[in-house]
Amino acid sequence: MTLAARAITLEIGGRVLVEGLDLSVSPGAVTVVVGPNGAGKSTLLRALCGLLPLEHGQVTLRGTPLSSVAPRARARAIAYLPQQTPAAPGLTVRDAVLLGRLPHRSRLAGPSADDHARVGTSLERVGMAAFTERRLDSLSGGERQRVMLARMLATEADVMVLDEPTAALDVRHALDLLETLRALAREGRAVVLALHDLPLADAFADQVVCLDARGTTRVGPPCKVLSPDTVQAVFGAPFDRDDDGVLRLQLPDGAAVTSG
Amino acid sequence: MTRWAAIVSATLLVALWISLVAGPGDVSHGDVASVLLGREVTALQRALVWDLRLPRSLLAVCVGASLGLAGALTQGLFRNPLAEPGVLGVSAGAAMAGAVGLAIGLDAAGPWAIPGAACLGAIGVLLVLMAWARTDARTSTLILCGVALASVCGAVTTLVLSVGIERWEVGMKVVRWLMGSFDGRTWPHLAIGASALALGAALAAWVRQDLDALQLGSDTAVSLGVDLRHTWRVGITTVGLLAGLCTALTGVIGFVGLVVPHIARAFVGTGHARLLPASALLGGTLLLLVDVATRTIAFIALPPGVITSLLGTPVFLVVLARMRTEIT
Repeated sequence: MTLAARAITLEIGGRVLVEGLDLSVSPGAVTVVVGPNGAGKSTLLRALCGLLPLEHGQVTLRGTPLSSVAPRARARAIAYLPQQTPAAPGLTVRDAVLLGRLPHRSRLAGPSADDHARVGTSLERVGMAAFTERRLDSLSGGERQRVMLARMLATEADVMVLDEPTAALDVRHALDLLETLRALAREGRAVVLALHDLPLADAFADQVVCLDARGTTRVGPPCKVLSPDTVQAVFGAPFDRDDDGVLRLQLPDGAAVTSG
Repeated sequence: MTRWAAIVSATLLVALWISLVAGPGDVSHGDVASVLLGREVTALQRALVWDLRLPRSLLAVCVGASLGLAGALTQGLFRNPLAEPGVLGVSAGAAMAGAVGLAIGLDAAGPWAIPGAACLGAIGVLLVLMAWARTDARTSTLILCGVALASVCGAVTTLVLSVGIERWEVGMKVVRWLMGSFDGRTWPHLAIGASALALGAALAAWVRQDLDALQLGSDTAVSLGVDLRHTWRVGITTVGLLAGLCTALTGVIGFVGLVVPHIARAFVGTGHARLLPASALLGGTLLLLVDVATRTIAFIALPPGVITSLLGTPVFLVVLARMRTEIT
């Protein structure tokens, strides 16, 4: 396994968000973190990236405690996309993606030809090569998110952690992004992301981490963790599965919604 | 970038040459060339060009470059286009610390005592701002915090002055310190200014990648391997050193650090590998032009801070107006 959490407990302001969580994130798999608002999804992702000091438990990267991995080495192994990225006025797409190469450079070195080549291939991979010289603040939400994905790819990290990357996207762009993430996982990366949309999480996850508002976590394959009973208990919303096993939201009038 | 840098460099050199020729005394272009090439000239001409004008002009370049650099650094550290040592009260902190130092006779301890106190004053204000920005990084909050700190520093400075009225010599020293000037600045002053600029430039180069990463937010920066505490420590020390020593050498000179990075960014982009040297180059050129203008146009010796504030305030307001929708 690439990244593992052992008995981690996360608290904010005395409130326990996650208690005693064990989690293994393996290459080739997509792990989706779900939970109601305020359940601690972002906090968990930040802890997995080493951005949050842990008081209880530990996160290991290929067996080494993350807290003892040097910042740049950690950055080369784990790429992170927060829920919101500042507008960064004036920053071009090229420069934004080049930032993904920082962990590979010494402090005083400028970008190498290899760095520029990686930027090119990363932007091509997410279909944004034509936007290389555009300013980041001139792009739509979906385009920006793809550029941020290219920035993550440019780090060549084995683990990619994304906090609600589809939050500001319409369904088409959300699906495109999730397809890309699944393809990246199949190439051997470990992908961890938080999602609000339960049917999408059910469809794209190999492993689901479900947080509730009481610090309890459930980890496992989506068909087990996202059972209608669990979803009802955690989210207070009526879901069922159709004959093909697809997770659907039950509307009061009897209609069913598979994603939204 | 190359063409832009060439134009600004050429302007700097022309302004430098004019600064050596312009002013009272019979000094022609040929005399200036003779002094610089070590040829035979009169003692008066040598004194005017070599002992008075050249170090003064080079000091103006150094101070302007330091302020431009400090402005670009501050804006990068706080991720805020309105952050600048003058606006945030950092220069006021340096002025206050220097004034207090003079009032208690710290200047007797040695030539570095007052500049050192000014640096500590600047760093003190920056530390308060940093602590504030950690809990609330909004532009409006940061500016208001800077205004409040500048107000407190100004009040302490006024207190020192009011006490100084009773002791004429101390009062005059403090007033001269606060007004600042390029007058009478010679090679030892230049040595201090150039050393600060060289050290500041080296430290700024050390954190420039961190500032680039900070453009995407502190979480992303940390995920890219930036050690935020280290970046803040180096950045704050550098801005404190530059702003403190500039204030010690030439008084409070506002707005150079605000205006210059904005202009530079329009030409060289947001990457700090280019923005930091471009801001230093442009700041040096701008302040030298201000000094040349005040020496050749003004009828009285104006402190350089007066001119930069008169020119800089409208620019500040324009930037503020453009940002109106972003500020909360």
